[in-house]
Amino acid sequence: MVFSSVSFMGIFLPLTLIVYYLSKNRTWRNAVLLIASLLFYSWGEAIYIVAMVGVTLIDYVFGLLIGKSEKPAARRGLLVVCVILNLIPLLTFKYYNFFASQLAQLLNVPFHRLAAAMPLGISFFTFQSLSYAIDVYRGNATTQKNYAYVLLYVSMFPQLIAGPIVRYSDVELELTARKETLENFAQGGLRFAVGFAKKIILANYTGQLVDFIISRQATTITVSGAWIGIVMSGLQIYFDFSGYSDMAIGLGLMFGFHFKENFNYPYIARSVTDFWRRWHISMSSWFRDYMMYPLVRSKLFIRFSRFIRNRAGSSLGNLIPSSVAMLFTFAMVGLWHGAGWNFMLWGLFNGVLLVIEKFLKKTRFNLERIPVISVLVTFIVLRIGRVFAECTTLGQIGHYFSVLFGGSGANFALNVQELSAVNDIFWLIPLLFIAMTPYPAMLCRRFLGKGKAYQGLRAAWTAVLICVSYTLMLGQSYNAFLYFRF
Amino acid sequence: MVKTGVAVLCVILALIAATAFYAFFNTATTVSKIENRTLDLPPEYSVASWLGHDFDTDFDAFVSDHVAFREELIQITFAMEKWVRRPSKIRFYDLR
Repeated sequence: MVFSSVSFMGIFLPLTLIVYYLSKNRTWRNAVLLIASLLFYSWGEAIYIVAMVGVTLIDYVFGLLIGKSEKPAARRGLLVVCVILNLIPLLTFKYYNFFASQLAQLLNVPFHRLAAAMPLGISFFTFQSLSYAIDVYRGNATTQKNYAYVLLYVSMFPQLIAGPIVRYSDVELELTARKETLENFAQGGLRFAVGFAKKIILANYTGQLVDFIISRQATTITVSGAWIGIVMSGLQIYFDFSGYSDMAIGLGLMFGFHFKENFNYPYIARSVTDFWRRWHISMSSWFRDYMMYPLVRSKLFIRFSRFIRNRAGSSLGNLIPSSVAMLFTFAMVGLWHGAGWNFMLWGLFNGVLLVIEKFLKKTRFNLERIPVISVLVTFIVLRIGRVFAECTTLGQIGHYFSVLFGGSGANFALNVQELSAVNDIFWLIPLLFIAMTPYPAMLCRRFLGKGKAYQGLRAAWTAVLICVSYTLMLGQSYNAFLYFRF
Repeated sequence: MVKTGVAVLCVILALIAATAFYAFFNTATTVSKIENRTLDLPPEYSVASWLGHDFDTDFDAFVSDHVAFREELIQITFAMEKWVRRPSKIRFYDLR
C-alpha cells in the first residue's frame, strides 16, 4: 500500500488510528499495530509476506541462540549462519537474475531467468531485521524473548517499505513502554502533512519533467536539457524520499514512536563527505556500522593495512586501506540501490569522490572552507553522478555524459518540447530551491517559537497541506515512490 | 491549543475517510464526464486475485475513482494547475 493513495489516507489510516486508540492497554495496541502492519504489507505483496516473516523469524531464533551462548566462537559461528540465512532471500530475489545473467554471458551458457518479482522493501526489512541479530551479538541490544515484538519492530507499517532503517535499540523501550501524547500526535500530523505535500506537490510535478527529459534522452536531448534533467532528478528523488521519510516519522509519532531523522538538508552539504552524513542517514550509518567498521577491524584487513604501511610509509599506509574499505562499502551501497552495473558505478563514483576528498584534506586545498562555492560544487558534482543511477545501460550512460559536455552533436539551447516541459513547472522551481534549505523551518522557529502562535499555525498549516495535497493527488496520474523499487 | 490542533487533524482525517467510504455507496456512477473515461468497477474478491496482486490494484483504482466530490476536486486541481501554469511572460529565443 502506498501512503499517497485514497485507500491509505481514507480507509487504512483512519481505521487503524480509531482501533488503536480505542484499545486500552499496550498489548492490545501492539496487536492492532502488528495486524495493521501485516495487512499493509500483504496489500500488494500477499505471497511475499512469508519472506518478511521468515527473515524476522530467523533473526529472532538466532538472537535467542546468540543470547544464550557464552562461548565467543559459538556466538560468532551463529552470527555467520544468521547473516547467510538472511542474505539468501535478498540475493535470490534481488540479485540472482543480474549475477546469473552476467555469469552466463561470460561462460556463454544459457541463462534461466527467475520469474518471481522482488518482494517490496526487501532491502529495507532484511537490513533492519539483520541489525537486531548483530546488535544482540555485540551486546548493543537485549535479547527479545517474544517473537511478536521482533515482528512488530520489523513490520511496523510506517517504516516497513522504504525506511528509515530503524535500529532495534532505538525502539526497544518504546515497543513495550511508549507514551502517546496529544503533542506527539499533533507534531506527527504536521510531519506527515509536510511529507505528503513534498511528495504530491514537489516530487510528483518535478517527476513529470524528469521523466520527459530522461526518457527521451536517447534521441533529441540538448545540452541544457541534460543539465536540467540531472538537477531536477536530484530534487525529485530528494523530495520523494525525504517526503516518504517525513510521513514515516510523522506516522511513528502519531503511534508514540520516535524514529531517527533520515535526512538533514543534504543539498546544503559543503562536501561529498558532508552530503553522506545528511542523505539517507539510516542507510549510510547502517553500512558504516555493520559493513565498513567490521571490515576495517577484520584480521585480514589489519594484515593488509600493515603490509601497505610497511611498503608505503605511515601517511599513505593509513590512507590507502581506509580508501579501499570506503570504495568497497560504496560499491555495496550502489548494489543495495539496484542490481545493475550502473548502480555499482554510481556507488563507486561516490566512493572515489570521498577518497579524493580524503586526500585533498591532507593538503591545503580544502573547498569546505569556502561557504557558497563548496555547496554549489558539491551539488553539481553529485548531480553528474546521478547519470549512473538514472540511465540503465552503459551505452545510455555514455551518451548522456557525452551530451552533458556538448558531445554527440547536441544543441546547447533547449528545444521547443523541453521548453514547454520546463515552462509547465516553472512556478515550482523557486519553491524547490527554497524547500531544500533549512531556512523556512528556521524562520518559523525564530518568529513563532514554541508558544500558542506556533501551535495555532501548526494546526492551520497541517490542515492546508493535507487538503491541498489530497485534492491534487486525486487529479494526478504520476504517483510512484522512487525508493519502492529497492 | 494542542487539543485544537489534534481536533483539526482528526476532523480532516474524518472528512477524508468519509469521502473514501462514500465510494462503496457510489457504484452507480460509471463514467467520468470531465475525464471522458469509464470508471473502475468494484473488484471481485478471490484468494487468487488477492495473491496475484490484482485485487488490491483494482480496489485502489475503484476507491480512487468513486471517492465523493471527485469531479469537483479534479476540477479544483485543474484550476490550480491552470493558475500556476498560466502563460509565462518569459520569452525564449532559439540561439542557433
